[in-house]
Amino acid sequence: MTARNAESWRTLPEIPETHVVSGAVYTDPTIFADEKKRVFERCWHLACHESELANPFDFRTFDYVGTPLIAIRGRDGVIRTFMNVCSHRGAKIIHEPAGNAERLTCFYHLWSYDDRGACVDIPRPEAYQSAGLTKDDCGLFEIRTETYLGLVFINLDDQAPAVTEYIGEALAPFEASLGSGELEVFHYNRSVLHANWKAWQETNLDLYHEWMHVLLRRTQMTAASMDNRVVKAFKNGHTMGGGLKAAYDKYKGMASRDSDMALPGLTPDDFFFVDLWPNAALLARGTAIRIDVVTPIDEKTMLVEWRGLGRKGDSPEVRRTRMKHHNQYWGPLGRNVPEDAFAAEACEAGFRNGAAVYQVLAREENGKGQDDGMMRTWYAEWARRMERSPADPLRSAAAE
Amino acid sequence: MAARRFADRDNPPDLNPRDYVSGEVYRDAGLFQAELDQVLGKVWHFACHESEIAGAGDYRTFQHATQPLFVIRGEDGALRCFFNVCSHRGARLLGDVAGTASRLTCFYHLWTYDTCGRCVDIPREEAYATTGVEKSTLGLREVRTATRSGLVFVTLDDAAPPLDEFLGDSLEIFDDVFGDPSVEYEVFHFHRGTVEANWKAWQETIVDLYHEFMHVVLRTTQMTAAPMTERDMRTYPGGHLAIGGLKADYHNYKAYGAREDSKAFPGLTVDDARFTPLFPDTTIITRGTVMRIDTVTPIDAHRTVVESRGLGIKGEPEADRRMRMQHHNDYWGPFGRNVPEDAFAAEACEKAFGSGAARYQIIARDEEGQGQDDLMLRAYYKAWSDMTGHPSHNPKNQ
Repeated sequence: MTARNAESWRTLPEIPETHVVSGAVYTDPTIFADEKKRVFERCWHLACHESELANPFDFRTFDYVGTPLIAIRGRDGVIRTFMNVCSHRGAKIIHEPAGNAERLTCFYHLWSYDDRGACVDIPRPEAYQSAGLTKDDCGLFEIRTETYLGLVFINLDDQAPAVTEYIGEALAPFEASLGSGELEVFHYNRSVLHANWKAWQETNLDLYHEWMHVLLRRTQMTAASMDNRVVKAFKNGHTMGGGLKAAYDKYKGMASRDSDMALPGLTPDDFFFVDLWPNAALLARGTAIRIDVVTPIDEKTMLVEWRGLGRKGDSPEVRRTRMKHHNQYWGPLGRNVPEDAFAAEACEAGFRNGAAVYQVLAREENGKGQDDGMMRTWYAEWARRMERSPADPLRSAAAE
Repeated sequence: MAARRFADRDNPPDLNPRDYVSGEVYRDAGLFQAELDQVLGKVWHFACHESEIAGAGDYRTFQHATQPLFVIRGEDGALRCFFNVCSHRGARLLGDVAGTASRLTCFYHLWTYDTCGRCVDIPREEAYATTGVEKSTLGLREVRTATRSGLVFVTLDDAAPPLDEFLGDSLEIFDDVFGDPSVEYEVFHFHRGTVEANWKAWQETIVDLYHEFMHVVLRTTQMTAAPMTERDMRTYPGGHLAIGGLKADYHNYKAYGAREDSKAFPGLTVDDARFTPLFPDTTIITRGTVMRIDTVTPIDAHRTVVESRGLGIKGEPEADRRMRMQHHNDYWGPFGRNVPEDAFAAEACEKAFGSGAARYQIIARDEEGQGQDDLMLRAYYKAWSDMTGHPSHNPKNQ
């Protein structure tokens, strides 16, 4: 047993190819360009929760892998998504992150669009007669939008199967809570992290790193047997980790949670989570739900959005307690989220310039404990969509 | 009337190709290189006004087509332009935006040049004796320089036609402004900013008349002041443009006062507005009492330096100068109404074109050369297409 030299450091370990991931998946710009086409332009993306667009004309804007988008609830109650780009000269139309507007008016030449994306006003339109251009030719480009369990999903692929088919059974554990229609978003924050987007998703797939989190060491690893844990894989790469419990009173300053604050279908000490492939995670801790969505900006920069959900109509006291439960773990200054951000950026520091060559996903505990099965499922779906081996992604591309 | 299918965004608009522009012109690396080689590398580029380098040894540094340059007035009074690069190890020679120097000394090894670009000192020169390196062969790289009406132009192309041929009649709407020998202009304002957008998106904010709705001061002072039918748009060979016939009612905007006719530049009334966009990167604008000169310089396909100058009359009383500065800054200062609004517009277009999300823009307005006709935008992109060899509606031949 010795330290390794240059050659042995770069040689893949003699373990199954499914248990190793090359650092190139985080760093190679051609792989990232391929991910945009094969992953982000094909898969359903969780855009927001419907409570964030509660009223007619409520909108949210966001950038999705380089495309400015706007989701807006129409006067007919239907949520639609459009490219947030004027049909005239290509200017981004709406610059606020959220608001309410009956008309979307571009500031540049005042072209206006309605809540269905139709172009409804062009100032001094008579000058377009000779060119044959009319408002009818100038609607916004609409993005497919479907709502499931109160979650608003979008897809840049007009041919993709429905979101319910894409998700399949993966969100069954959230049917009672999210499906109740009684939840709303009470917390939103977002941050740019300097790491590949997959490194964030991995923090929500990897059970083994719970030692890193002081809260999990105290409250989770002591609360239930490793044998009670269940890791499940669903079609399309979605995964679930469940059977986890929390003994909140084991951490000084925190207390056990009242059952009357539990969200529908949950007990106060439950903890489980579902990862929707490729870039979303839903986490339930009895009294609060967290939703993570990660969107790449480029191969080494990502935007992570965090939402917290509670029950509509909470009394102010209950809401304060729920926010506290949320923020202790998951707020921007909570214990878990900054620790995960540190982990993702630490991996980036190793992989960015090739010092780290590969990572190992080889834990097998029969789908219990700290099995790496969720990560392997995630990368198996990546391999299927990308037609590349995560262990040797550039070899596969070269062979094409 | 409806939204369009996302997948249809790849389809070109069902218009005459002259009436739309592909977003590739803002982002494609090969087209950007073609612009450097075939457009910016060939044209005469406005460098500065001669009042900025009035005395011997006065210089200004700038970039053009990604090359570091400086213009300097020599001891002999002549204006010259050089690469701002030491002949020895390639270091940038002058670090300041502007200054005065009788000798140009590189900070790195103290090689020194005179104001005519000759290498005049090499420390401990004797060590080059065996290799045959000598000062007489180590002058700076000179760039062709010419002036017209006090405007200093340079070209990187030693074979370019003379400046007067390049400009043609494009400055004719300024003939009276520049033609009075008793009036000399000087620069009283200079600022520059980096805009996160393709350089042409800035030039479009000048060439596009239709966006005057965006500017609150134009909505209130310009659109009310004269009929659209009195506007006079002109195009010239080489892509140069001009518009006259614009008027302004300054008192229609609260806090602006009326302007005194006696303070107007020669040939103008105080309410006149005229501008000449010189292809591809410079615009001269006058509003009765004051003049602005804009220059755009790309850093890369997605970032642009915009330089803005304000001009008044040399030797005028201090009160007149203060008045002109106010008139300039109300519209055109870095905190004026118009300039930040245009920067916002250019950057809003970059947000969709820079990533390739937006595919096309429409430049189809036809008002018979008046009003808010897009003919200047079409002429601009016609010249761009001719010079790059890539049609702007489909530059990558897809």
